Amino acid sequence: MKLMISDYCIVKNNSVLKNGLIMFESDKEMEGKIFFDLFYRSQINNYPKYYKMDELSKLAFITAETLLQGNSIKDGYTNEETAIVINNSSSSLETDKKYYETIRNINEFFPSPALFVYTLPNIMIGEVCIRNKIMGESILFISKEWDYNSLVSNVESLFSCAGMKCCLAGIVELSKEYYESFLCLVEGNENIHDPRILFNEENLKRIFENRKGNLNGTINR
Amino acid sequence: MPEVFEVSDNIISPLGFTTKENIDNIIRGKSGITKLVPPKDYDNSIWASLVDKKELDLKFSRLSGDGLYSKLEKMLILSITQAISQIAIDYTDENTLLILSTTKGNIDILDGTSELQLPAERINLWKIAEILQEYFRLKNTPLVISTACTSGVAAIITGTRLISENKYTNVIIAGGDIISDFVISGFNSLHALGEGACKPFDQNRTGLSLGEATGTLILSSEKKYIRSKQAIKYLGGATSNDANHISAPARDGKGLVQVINSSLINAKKNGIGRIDFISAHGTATSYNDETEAIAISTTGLSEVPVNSFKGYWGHTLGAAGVIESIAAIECIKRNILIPSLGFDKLGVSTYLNIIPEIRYTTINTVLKISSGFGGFNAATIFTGII
Repeated sequence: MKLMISDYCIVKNNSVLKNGLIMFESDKEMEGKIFFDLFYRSQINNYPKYYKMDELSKLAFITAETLLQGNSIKDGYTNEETAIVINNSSSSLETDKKYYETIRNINEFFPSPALFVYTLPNIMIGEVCIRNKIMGESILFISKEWDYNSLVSNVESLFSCAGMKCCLAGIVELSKEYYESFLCLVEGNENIHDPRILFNEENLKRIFENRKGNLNGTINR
Repeated sequence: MPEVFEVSDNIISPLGFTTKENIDNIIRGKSGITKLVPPKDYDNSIWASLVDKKELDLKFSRLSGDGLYSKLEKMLILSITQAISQIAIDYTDENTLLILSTTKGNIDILDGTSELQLPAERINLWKIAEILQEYFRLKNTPLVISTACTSGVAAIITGTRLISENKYTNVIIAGGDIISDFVISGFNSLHALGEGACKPFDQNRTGLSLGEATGTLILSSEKKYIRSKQAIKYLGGATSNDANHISAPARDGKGLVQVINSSLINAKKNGIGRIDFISAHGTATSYNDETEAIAISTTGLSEVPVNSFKGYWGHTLGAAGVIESIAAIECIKRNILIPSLGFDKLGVSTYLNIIPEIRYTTINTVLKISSGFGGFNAATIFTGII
């Protein structure tokens, strides 16, 4: 079976793109976390739990929301055959630092349990799964550079060895300096003729790093 | 599709620096969990299983190389070195992949538990993988899996799939975590730590004990590497998400039921219909043990002997799935059922066949299960073949 990218969403430089089209953008100078909240309030605004999430989870959440909007994966697949695979680099380090600030001063020792839970990078997957009732295979792997090869080979394994029929796959990264996310909806199809939508390393790189063409072959800004 | 065999392993913990030392000590009923002195200014006392730094440094000084390494890096290097030294394997070529399973890596750099002056970059999980790649001169960039407490079992499942699909011949799975102020304060703030050493599945359980360990499990499609008379074959596994709560398991154990069932289906495809032993996650928190009991019962496995190794090693986070799988494999090799240390009276709502004492009996097939924060679940099955 060939795997195809049926939709994708990129959140980067304070802009949100779906299938190559800009859905929302804001001042590039704005802090990422303020941008996430701005986007959430103006485009989603129906999930109060969003506000208790750490920034990494917020980024994963808004990316998945945009990707899946108007594309109910529930209609085509069961919760159990929908998987999620995410690649990240900085783990939950920004939240780790914030949590550490709450315990650092021995005299003002006041750990925040609500924050501690987010000092695990896979919690962002948990948040996306809760929202979208994704119950299949869930994997988070961490690499210095984006590891498209492992991303593709892990997702392929889930379709061929683990009975998965649909997968959210991509990158969610947040560090002190920058953030970026890129999630694809991956599905199987026997009859793909358009090589541009095949789920492979080359296309992931093309879409995420060059962004020269989108699914419809039009040119992005 | 190539078959996947377990060909070598190692465990480093307060109970020893080899698998044999660890399992021998466990059979003697020893635990690595002790009361920490001095406890920080907590209201409660803290119990954990910690690797002695001096002993570690001594063992590490016998290895070649003169770089500056963190406690976790030393434990990982020692564990991998020992595991690969047991078999004549060329692990440096493109046929071998290292998978690292860790939750917090060198978090002791952030909180100052580590007294070493290591570069800030070392706090990145990928950096530990890079250090290992350099040390062992590995051709392939290692894969780092971090899915909370299920990391170890998830790494095993991922590694075996990559071998099954002919992407690699050998996969070295290394799991490890160390215990720092950061981790202790976090679990303490969640009221997840028990008073005294943990008592998995017991009615008087009060929470978990943290532990540090590293483990290495080498899997291969090459039968020639099998060392003992008793070869161990991997029968598949699965991961899932509860999609229920980020810090508590689903009360009906649905996600765990799902991974157990799909592991059982995989085993049946290989002609294995009977599970002889379950190595549970068994952290001794109220919720975890209850959910596991429900999942074991729902999948029709209530009569299968079950234990938790947490009473011996504590909860070793990213190492747990690796070292407990190695221990479960050791139960097949030694034909032994190992009791659940700290257990006295059943404290979950459904019947479980908790192993009360050492029993020598034929063990062919084991099921390893685990669950973690983020709603993650994982299960995997190993079987002995002659």
